[in-house]
Amino acid sequence: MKTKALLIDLPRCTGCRGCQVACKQEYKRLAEKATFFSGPGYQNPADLSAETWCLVTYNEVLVNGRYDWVFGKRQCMHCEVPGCASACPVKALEKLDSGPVVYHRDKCIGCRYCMLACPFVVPRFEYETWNPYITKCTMCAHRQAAGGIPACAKACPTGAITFGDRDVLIREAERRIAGNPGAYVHHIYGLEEAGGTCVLHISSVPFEELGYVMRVPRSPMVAHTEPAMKAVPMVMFGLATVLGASYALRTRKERSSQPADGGPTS
Amino acid sequence: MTNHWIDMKHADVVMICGSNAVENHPIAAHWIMKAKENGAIVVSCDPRYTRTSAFSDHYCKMRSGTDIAFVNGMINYALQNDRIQLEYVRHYTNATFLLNPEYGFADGLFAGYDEATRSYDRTKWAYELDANGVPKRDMTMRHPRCVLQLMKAFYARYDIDTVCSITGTPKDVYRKACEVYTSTWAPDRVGCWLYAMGTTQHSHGTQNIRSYAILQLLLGNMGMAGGGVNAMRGESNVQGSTDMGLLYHSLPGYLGEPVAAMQTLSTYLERLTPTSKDPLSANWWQNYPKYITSLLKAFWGTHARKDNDFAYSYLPKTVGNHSYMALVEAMHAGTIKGLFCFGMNPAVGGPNSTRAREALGKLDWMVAIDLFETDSSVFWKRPGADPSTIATEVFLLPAAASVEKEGSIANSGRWCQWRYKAVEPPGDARSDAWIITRLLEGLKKAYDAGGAFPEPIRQLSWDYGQDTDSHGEPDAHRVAREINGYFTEDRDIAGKLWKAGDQAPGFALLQADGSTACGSWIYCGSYPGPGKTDNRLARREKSDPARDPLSMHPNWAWCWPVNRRILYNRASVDAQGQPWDSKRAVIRWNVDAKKWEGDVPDGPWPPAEKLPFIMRPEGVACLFAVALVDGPFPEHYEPVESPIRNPLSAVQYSPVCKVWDLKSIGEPGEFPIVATTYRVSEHWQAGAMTRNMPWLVELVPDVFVELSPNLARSKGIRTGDWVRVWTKRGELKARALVTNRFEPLFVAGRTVDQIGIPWHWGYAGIAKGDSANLLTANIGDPNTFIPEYKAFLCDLAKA
Amino acid sequence: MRRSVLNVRLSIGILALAAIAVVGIGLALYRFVAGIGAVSNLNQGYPWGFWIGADVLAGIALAAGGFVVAGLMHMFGGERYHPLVRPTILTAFLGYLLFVAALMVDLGRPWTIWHMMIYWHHESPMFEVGWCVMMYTTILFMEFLPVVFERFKLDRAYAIWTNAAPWGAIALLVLFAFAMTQSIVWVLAIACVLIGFESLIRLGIVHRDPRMPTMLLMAGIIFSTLHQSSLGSLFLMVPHKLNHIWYSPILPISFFVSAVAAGVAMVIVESTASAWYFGRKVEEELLKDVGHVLTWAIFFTLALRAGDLVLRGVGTELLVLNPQSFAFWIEALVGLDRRPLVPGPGPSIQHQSGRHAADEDERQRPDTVRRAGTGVHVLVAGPRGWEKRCPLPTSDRPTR
Repeated sequence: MKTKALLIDLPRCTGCRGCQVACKQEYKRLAEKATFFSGPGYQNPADLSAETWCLVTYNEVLVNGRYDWVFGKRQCMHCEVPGCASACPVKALEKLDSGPVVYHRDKCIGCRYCMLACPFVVPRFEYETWNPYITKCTMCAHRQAAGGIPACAKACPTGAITFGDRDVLIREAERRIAGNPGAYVHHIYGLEEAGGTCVLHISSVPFEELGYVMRVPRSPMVAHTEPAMKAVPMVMFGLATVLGASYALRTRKERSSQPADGGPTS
Repeated sequence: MTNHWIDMKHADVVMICGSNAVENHPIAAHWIMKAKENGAIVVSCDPRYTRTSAFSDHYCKMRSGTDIAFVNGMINYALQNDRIQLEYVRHYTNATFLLNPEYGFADGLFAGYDEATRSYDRTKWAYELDANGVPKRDMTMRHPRCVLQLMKAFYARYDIDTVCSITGTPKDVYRKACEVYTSTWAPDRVGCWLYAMGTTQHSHGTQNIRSYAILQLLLGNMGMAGGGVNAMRGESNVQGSTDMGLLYHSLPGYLGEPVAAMQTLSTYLERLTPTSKDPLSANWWQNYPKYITSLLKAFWGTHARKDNDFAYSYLPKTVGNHSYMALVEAMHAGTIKGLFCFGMNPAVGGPNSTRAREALGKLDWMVAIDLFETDSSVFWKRPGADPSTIATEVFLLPAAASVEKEGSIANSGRWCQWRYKAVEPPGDARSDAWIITRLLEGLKKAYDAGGAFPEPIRQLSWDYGQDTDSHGEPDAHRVAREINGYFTEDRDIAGKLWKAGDQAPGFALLQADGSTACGSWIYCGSYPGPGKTDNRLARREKSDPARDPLSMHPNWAWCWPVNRRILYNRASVDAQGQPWDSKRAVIRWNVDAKKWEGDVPDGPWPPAEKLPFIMRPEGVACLFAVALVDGPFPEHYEPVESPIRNPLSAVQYSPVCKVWDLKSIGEPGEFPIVATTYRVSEHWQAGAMTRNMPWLVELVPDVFVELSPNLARSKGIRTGDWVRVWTKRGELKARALVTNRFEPLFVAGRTVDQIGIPWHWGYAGIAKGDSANLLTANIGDPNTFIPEYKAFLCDLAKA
Repeated sequence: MRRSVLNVRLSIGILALAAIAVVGIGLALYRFVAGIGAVSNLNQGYPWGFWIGADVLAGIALAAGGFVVAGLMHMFGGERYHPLVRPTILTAFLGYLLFVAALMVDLGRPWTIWHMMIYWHHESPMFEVGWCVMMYTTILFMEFLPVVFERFKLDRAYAIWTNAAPWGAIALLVLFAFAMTQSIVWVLAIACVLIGFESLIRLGIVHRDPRMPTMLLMAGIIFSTLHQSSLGSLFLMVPHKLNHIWYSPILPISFFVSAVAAGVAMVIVESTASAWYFGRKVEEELLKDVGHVLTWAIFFTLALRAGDLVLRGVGTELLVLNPQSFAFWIEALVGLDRRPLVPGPGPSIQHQSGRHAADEDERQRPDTVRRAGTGVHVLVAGPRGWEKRCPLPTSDRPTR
């Protein structure tokens, strides 16, 4: 099965937030109480949250001496080798072959290690309830399973969000960048970040100007823990051997003076 | 629209002027995006850098209310640089027509102005006629009194320096816009003009649109695929509503309003039916008698007969100005005692909200029919009101939403699409059809006990049934079939026998003798048969791109008139019927088969047999037009409230526009800042629906004022601060949003600041806030009386 | 003067501690009504806070004494340390029980903690942590049982325990190995070594210690080693959020080493404190030897830390004036007591137990603070603040 992905072509985005509302509608998330605006421009709410899984940002960016208004989209990046799924001790987060990183509520223990492990700061926790779950975008895996496309992609009027095979979308992104000199920066955000993601962004201005997380290593998060985890059985084997041997050596004089069965001594 | 939504993708240049299309018509962005993919350049002209500007390739900032100067400068640029499609102009416009010697223009006024009545005698603008009563023409267009030469003289004042000094647009930016847009003069290049309320809501709003039409005609963009003058309507079915005559000044099918002076049908027809002596002119409005007669037959059925003037006397006649602001004033004066508000929110949506809310309080009774408890329905307990002093009896009837009833919607492209009922309306909510039917029944009954002139009500033909559901919902199909029209008696027309009761196949077969009835002649042909399968509004066939390269989708819904997707398409071909632009051929005359291919041609006659602009008596489009009351050419005047003196002439603002109360107009000394109002994607109109939707309230909960960093600094205002904005009419409080998207303008030698406020808020709903219309004034365009919401003066300070 | 646990005199100190405990327990219970957000300042940028830093990271180190003493004594021939075994096992056991209780408050869905037993994800450091805790707590419980048997004179149970406990330990070790590798090969290898060793003991080839089954102690050492290091492994996952003064590929090792040092220090503290409280004599000679061990442990911890900083090229960062280097120096100077390293007369043994205790208290500060520091630094770096403060290694940056 081919991995699916989303391509977010930011110059095509009109900041209409049809995607943000479509996501809320699809999952029946609650609206948050907001006053005025919680971020630059018209941004509301202030950030991703337990109720908000897709957020459009508004950025007035200086380009060649004039201000342009450039919109960004924040959501789960659906990494190829997700840090959250690598971190989760009970496999409550799972990367499907088809692309989405989905969440199994019934398995979660609420340790929040996934929140720590995600380099994009995506998973959100329901702090306000005694019965909390982790929440995040799931690339509408249930819609995909029924032959549909994610709600945000469906709602987008300009094709700023397109859904398709990851490799096809990467080629399309490269084609757009190459075919429109000056219109895009030469960076597909998500191509290599954290080992590659299934949400790819292209932009007319550097991603730092849009508040995107830039401090993301190229290697997947699990690459950093793999050596330590692989060492565990070796440590066990080694310790057992060393401890056993040192004990045996140390006590070889005493072994003959022992009764065969034990009894309580102090 | 002369064209339609999908057609935008064919444009080489898309001009978005007087509109924030991407913000307020987001699906337009879908088709503009397709145009961009095809290499189109998109230009955005707006006082503020909007979501549309961010989407465009070129942005021109301009002062609110200076659109005519802006476009007139482009017209001048086109004329001076010979960037006009000469043959198109010569043959399809009245550029060659000669004007009578009495016509003139000097210092801001056209000939025929009467200061006392503040109006024009438009006979002074008439063509010079020959002996046969046909306008004289100079096909070389060199005669000093031909329209083209008069235009050149008139527009010569709009050079780039002058225009930029009025609008505040930087000259290099403006020059580029002129170059880019007028590049569509070439026959194989086409420009699409998109506009909305930014154009219309001015004291010279109609002339704003005229300026677009003139430019598009000079460039040969009318009737072409990817061209046109395209109004983006602000409500999903406002097009349908105006088609059905809901405007105060028209009957269904855009038939003229019967005024009190037209006491008989013949006087009505005499005043309104145009005549033409030119054999090449189809002069389609000569069919007026057929359409009005058929309409009267639809209204009063068998009670409309030849011997009673087809019940013409039953039609109410207007006795003055019946536009919205005039109605509010009449309510205020106590002349109007009662008001039905169907999905309308005067407390928020009309100008000078304070006056409107007071006016509601003067009524004896008011009925609001809406989905939610609107601001208007609770005007009597609004903040600051004392209900004990308000005697109005207010009713709130719950209405069904569009998805809760069956019917049709006409979009901006004139596509009329049938809609089905998806869910039951909640509780007691009912469709408008149900409510009006019950109202009529009640009125008929009330007349049993007496009353003046009961016939127009009692004899109304109202045969829509009540059997579609358990509540007695009228059958929308019966209404639709009546709108299409039918034969009331047997008729033999051109050898074919039509029986009484047969649906009419098209408006060409409507009759003036009472043998046909038709609810709106432009819809004739939409439901040409008795069964639901004949409902063309319900068709949903997407066409094969190979056979429909221009994506006209002729079998998807039905568009008026006669499913013609692009209006005036006979102008897209030359005298031989061959398209100017063969890449995007709208129609083409097949010489061998001797018939037209492509879109429904604008009149079936072979090429050159009739002129293309069949709705004009001249048969050609009007660069010079007598039809509007404020001038044959659009002339720049300042908005009624303006920061500067009009640099072009001694006439400060439109000499014909209506100002209801001069004392409510502010002076720039007291109010130095230009203000405008607009919308955001997340809210809609007066906010009755969107301010009750939590997901939308989350996005934009509060009213806000956008202002430039310069202005903010000078007032000590930062983003998030509460500010007070006030005008001569009233004041509001809102949060400030300081943004680089507003810049100060350099106008007539000084700096002018602009601010803007979205107008969606009121005191009802989940998201409450002050209404921007507390600030606007009762000023009306002289042709339509649309209020001047878009340019006025204010001051602001930190609250 | 002998004081019995039950006739405790209510001093101001006890009352103050009791009041804090009541408030704490109240808040912990409220957490189960209104959610974690109601009782903490955690948010979407800070999913872990001081609770995890202090309790899990630092507190667990303090409970590490058990395995260290066991290792010292049984494996490396420190017979003389035997009197310390029971107290340290008790400290460890109580420490781990309290740790688990505290964890129940911090976990979002603590009633599902058993999920780790049936949903396995052996690549996750958190999985390792959870299993180590489960296994080690069980081992500690088993090690603690003799006290119960003796107190209630359950000779038969004691006899069964002596026989069965080693097999129980082996079963836990093998199960753990399977859960952590899903590999039959490793399971067999480890099982062979363990069963082989136990068999050698049963056959009398290797000396059998009648006081405590060796296998049990060995299991404790293995699980505890893995547990301490797994807490370090947790933070390997966050190179982008942990300032590189603290982030290092050898985090698991440094967590282990600091646990050893903290455990040893805790042994001294707890021995001294309980001797004082129960009116027994402080075993000074013994503790002096433990002190020597502590000196080496601290030295080794410091050397490892310094070496790690230098080899990773971070040394120069410590001289820059910013909050991170500041935090490092405070932690290093205030937290780390280098007095044992100063040449001169060794720690002088004073007969006033109060002053003695103070010296020892200081010595156990260092590593708990550093371990807490590691945790705290990732936690107080702020939701996005690390971006400015943690450059990524150039080799690991996206290029396209």
